[in-house]
Amino acid sequence: CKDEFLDRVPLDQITDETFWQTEEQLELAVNAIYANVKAKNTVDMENMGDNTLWPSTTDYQLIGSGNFGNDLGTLNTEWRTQYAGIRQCNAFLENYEKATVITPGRKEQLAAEVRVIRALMYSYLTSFWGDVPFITTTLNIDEVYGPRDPREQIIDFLMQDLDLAAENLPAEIPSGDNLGRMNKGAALALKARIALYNKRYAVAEAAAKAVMDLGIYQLYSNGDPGTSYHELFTYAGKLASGRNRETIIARMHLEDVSMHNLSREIQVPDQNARWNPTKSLVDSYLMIDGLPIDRSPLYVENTYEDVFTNRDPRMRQTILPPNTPWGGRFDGNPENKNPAIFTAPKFRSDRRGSVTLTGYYFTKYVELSTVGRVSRDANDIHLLRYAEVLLTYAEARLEQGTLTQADIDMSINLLRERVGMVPMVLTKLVANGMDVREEIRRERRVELALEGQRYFDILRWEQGELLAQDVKGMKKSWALIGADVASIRADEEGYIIAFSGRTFTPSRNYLWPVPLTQLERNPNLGQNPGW
Amino acid sequence: QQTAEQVSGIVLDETGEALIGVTVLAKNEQSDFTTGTATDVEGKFSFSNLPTEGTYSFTFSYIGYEAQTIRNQRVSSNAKLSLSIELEAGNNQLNEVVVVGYGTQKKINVTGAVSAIEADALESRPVTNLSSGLQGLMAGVTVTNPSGQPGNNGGTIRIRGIGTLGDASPLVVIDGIPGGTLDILNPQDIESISVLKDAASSSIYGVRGANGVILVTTKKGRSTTPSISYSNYFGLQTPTALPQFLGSPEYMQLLNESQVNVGRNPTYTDADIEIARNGSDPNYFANTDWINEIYKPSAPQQNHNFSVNGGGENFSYYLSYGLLKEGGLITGDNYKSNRNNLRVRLNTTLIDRLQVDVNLGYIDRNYSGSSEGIGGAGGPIYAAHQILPLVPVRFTTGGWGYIGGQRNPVAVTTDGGTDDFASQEFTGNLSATLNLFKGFSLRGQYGLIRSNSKRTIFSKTINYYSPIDNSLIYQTNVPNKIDTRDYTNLYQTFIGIAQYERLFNEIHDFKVMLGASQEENIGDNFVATRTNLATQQVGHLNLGTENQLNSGSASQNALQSLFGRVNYGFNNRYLAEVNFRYDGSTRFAPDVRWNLFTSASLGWAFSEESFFSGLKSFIDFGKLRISYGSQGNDRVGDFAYLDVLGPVGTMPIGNANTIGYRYTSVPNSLLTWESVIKQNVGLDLTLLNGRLGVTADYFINETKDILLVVPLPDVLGTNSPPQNAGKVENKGWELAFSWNEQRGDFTYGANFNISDVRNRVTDYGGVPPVLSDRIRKVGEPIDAFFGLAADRIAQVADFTYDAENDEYIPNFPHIVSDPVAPGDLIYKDLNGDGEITLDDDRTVIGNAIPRYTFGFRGNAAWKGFDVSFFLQGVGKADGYLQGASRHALINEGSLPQKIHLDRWTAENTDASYPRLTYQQSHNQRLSTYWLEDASYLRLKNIQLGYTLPAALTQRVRINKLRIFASADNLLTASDFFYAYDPETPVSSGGFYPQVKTFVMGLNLNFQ
Repeated sequence: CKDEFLDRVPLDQITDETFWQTEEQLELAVNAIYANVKAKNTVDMENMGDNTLWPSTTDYQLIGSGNFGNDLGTLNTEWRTQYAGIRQCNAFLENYEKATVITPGRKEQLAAEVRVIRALMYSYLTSFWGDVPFITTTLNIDEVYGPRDPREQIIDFLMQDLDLAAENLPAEIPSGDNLGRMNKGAALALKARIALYNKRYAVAEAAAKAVMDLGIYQLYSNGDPGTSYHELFTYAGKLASGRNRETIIARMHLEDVSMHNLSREIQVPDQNARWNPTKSLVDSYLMIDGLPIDRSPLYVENTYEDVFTNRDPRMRQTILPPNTPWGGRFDGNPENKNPAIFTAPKFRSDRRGSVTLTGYYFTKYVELSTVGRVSRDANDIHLLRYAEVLLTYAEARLEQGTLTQADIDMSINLLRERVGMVPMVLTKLVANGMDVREEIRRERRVELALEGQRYFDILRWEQGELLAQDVKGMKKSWALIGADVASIRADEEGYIIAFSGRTFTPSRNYLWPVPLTQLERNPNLGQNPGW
Repeated sequence: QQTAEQVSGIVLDETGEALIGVTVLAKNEQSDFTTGTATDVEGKFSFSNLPTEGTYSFTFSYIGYEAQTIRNQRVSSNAKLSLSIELEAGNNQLNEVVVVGYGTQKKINVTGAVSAIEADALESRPVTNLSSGLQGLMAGVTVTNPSGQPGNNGGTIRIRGIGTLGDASPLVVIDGIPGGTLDILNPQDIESISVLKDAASSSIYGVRGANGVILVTTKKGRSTTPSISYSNYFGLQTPTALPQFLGSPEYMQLLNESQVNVGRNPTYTDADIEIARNGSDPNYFANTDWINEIYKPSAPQQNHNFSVNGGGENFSYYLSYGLLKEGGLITGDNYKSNRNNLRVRLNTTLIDRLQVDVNLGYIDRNYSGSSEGIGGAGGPIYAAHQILPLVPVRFTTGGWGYIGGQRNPVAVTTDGGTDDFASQEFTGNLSATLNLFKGFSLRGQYGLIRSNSKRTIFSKTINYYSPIDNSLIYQTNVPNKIDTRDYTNLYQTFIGIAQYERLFNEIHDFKVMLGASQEENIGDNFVATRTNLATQQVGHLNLGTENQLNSGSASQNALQSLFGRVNYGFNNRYLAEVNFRYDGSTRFAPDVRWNLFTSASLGWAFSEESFFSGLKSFIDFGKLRISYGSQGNDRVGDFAYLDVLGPVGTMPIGNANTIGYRYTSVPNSLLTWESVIKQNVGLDLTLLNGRLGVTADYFINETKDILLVVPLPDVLGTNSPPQNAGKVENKGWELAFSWNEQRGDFTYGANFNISDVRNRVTDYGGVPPVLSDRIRKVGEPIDAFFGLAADRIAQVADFTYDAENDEYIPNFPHIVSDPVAPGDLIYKDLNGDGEITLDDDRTVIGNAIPRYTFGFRGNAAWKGFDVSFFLQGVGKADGYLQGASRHALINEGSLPQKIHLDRWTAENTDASYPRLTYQQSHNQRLSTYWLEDASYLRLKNIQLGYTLPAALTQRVRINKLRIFASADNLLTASDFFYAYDPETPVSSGGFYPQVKTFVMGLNLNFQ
């Protein structure tokens, strides 16, 4: 037989032998790896915490409520997608040195971008499961049955690998064709986050300080403290707008090419809003005098509007206050004929406007121009921004017992200054009997609300009991039309109980169970305690 | 001892040729004495030691000839009796020829397991595609019909079960060319179909024969005066089963109940429910029956066939044209299809010894649908199952209704755009056979299948306007988009065959065949899209203004083969056959590319033995068959052995659309064929003067080195590659009976077949079994259902009430993270450890592989009237309907159906459905509670016809005029879930329903 007849190659793909040769090919390979950076999914993880309530059941919400087993789909999806990204990173790191490039240092720079993305994948894996298999090579099919490796060993590696990445990455904020790529700040800021999550406070402090010392990042501001924070999470604050020097890692989006549905979900004009701020979040905002609502003389709550009065200005830029523009159409006030302005929460499911479960709506992350259109939101998803670095610095100093007023002034008070909030002063906290740790944590919760961090913070602060509480909302009595809330439950004080039945078992729920599918395929993984 | 010849004679056929091996039975008519002998090479026989008392009868029987008996013959020891017998060729089943791989064989000489049907089995039935048409006709051939969608309703064929974990479809060979598509052929062009089921019959197809082989032979001309036929039918289709959803008031009540049950607040107030009930707010609280809105009452269908057939001394021709038009059941008229089949076949003999066969086919077909895929989330049927009854079809202001969250399926099918597929397939099949000398022939064949297909998906923007202020409140498909795809495929094959056939010494029948072939398949596809078309009236790529994107794909594979067969028959009584094939495929790395497949089979026509002659008057013919052999399966993607990179869309780096490259899979350079060892024992009987035919088979098929995607731990980081791992065994039996008789004007016949196959995974490559809902585990059938054993619905008495926390504490084992309350399912604690875990308490609870599949066809004719029916069914199978097709309120799209009114509540404790738990599905895990009995008995077809008296019609030169009425799927007996058809036992709903078809038509023949 003439064998040439059978010598054939793929007609529409590249074989391994002809790849990994040029700089362009390396760039193509790195570009593909950016597809693994979490997108809106980052925000969705907020459903695991206590800041928001989703009207239907999502896997993230089930995780937060404790009512889930190891067969829950998302567990396996998270496991699978992170390891898929890791394999692509490992494949690059195994092959990139083969290429011949002209620009000096270019190869190592591209490899450094890949290392940052790989560290991001591992930061999720270790946060979800603790110990996980630690894979740094492209495994063969007979190499996949190993046990899990200790979390600390992986974190040790990530710290070193992110240092190596930082060394090889340029400091400046990428722009032009490179807009959105990982840079030195990304490596260091991610290192700070991972160190903080793993209680390595000295490392976290140093990495955060290194980002601060780069001197290139600044909090986004348009000069108006009343809108700057909110604007960061709209099109005006997109990296591509060129005015944002705050966001360090973003999953960028682009009209027609890559879009999501977040703005519409937040104020969907004909259904239940998907994102319903909880009483717990609303109550966590300080009063403008720097005191919590239960200590401040300024706090009254006779009406819905009262709740928004005299609060930390970030509240009005996060939780939708009455008499402001929204995309939710006809609200809970039948007298309000202007669908563009929100005046009162809507409880009746008459499909004419956005219905809230808790009485509140979000406004943060709403790009108003896209609320009316399905999945046409091209807002960036901010994965890591300078504000978090500042918060990390403050918390790391605190946990080491070295926090000073100067530290607060160069971190938290910058965040407060942006929005025109009274600064945090250690002596005043003491004078008012406020706990510094609680306030640092409050600051983080408030600043990063709806950015997907809350669940991880609750877990690392070992405050799991917060997740077992009923989800509450505003007082029923604030509703304009009593009949609309007649069948809604309330607690003794009259606050809406929007969702009950949540549980948290401390012996079990601080880590996720290893997904059933993975355990079945590899029993050597072992299960986490209590599962 | 007496040794002198007492009786001698000769047996000849009608032409005076000696018949060899004719069984001659001598029977004493007064005593029990019988003895037998057979004719020799000169057709002669003799008896020498017959007792001389009384009279004798002599019976002469021979395969293919009418038996003859001569009675009342006296035999003495000195006077020699001389007999000269002429046997007439019998007109019975024994002379049938069946098509086998690369040739034909007399049915009586077949040693493998082959089923065959003739054209009449399909005639006049409203069969739109051959695969569905084959359902129930042959033992061991099971067909399931997943959908009734026009133009896209082909069935899934399995021969003798599922021997692979991959693609289990049989190889289709059309007029000798492998790899054809059954579903686009015109059923009226079919002369016969053979199904090769065991290794002996199909190993000649080597690497592609493991799933069995279907050989299709199309009609050719008869060398007679021209005959012109025209037939048609017109008909209607209606769905066999549809779900019944609840109206708005009941939906709202059940939603509220399900929300309160899980710790949420109810969505609707009683006042709103009353509004829905009294219809006072038709825009926002409508009460729409979407099933009624999305389906039309029936879909039209028509078929026309026209053929001319004739020839002369050295040539024949057959020309045909068929037109099939199918309308759709879906509102908006997007669903329809047309198929035009043209076929030309010319046969001629040149210079006495060169036979040329030209067989050309041209198919021009198209089918359309909505721009949204039928089963997609926005697809019309799925959407109709998911949309709330509260949504009006249109607002009172005239625009499309929309109240948030769901797509209006009627708007989608009416204004949402179309998906049009059109394809032209040309088949050229040329062969020439040269008879070099007696018994020796050379045959060359060239086959070409060229297809050009185009798909245009025009997604139109639908705007929805508020009935309050006419503002634009919702849009779908923004911007509008046109997506044009062009697929081309070229398949070519060359086949060369040398064959030598000779009868030595009149009893040693040798046939040797040796062949070689090569084939290649090259596909090249192109996709282009544009958005923002300035008009939605005309959809063409040229009209889009933005996002002018394109992409493409291409594929190729090739196969080279050597094959051969040796047949030996001794005296038509002892039969032997050996087959081999040596295949090389581009799908595997060069080192493991070639493999040899062989088979051997033996046959024994025991009815021709002299000792059998006593039963000859009852059993005309009997044969035992036994076969053993190997076959392969290469159904794995191309180039799975190579490490390749492909493009992927990624984050828009630099604020621009960005493409990256990444590895598409893990290569496996050791990947090779999966091979099947098939063993078969069979029995063929013809009884009662050919009126009754019986075929029985028992088989064991063992597949090893199965091409299997072993699901690996996902730390691998990529899709698990195919490997050769595991073994699967299929054991089964088949029985087929046929009966045909004519009594005066009355003729009738019946065919019954039944088969069973038991499937078992015998090895799973040493890796842990896959334990999802469908298990692949040693000792169990492939993809058996793996789930919990449900006991019953828990009642309040099964709990301890904790008044302090207002909680019910279950007093039975349960899954610890399930929020269990009265009305939930109690699962059985199979390992007895006091708690239910998915790891330990699931077991194999059933499987969907049908068992005891049967078909029963009957027909009768009297004078001009004819009637036929066809019953078909499955004796045992488990079905499983998942998600919204079966359950209520477990996710946003699972709407309550009428059956869900019987859910558990404190007042309705004897319920058939558990309590409603909004978006919590712990009761809906796969358990015995949700397995459906998918056995069924179905009147697949019934047909009545009347042929006008020839004396009448011949006056207008019409040879035959028959009118008929026919119905498919008219009646079904089944305990399957009411809303779906048992022929699709496992599904999530949302597909185009199966249909009942009623047609009327006529057959016309001019000569």
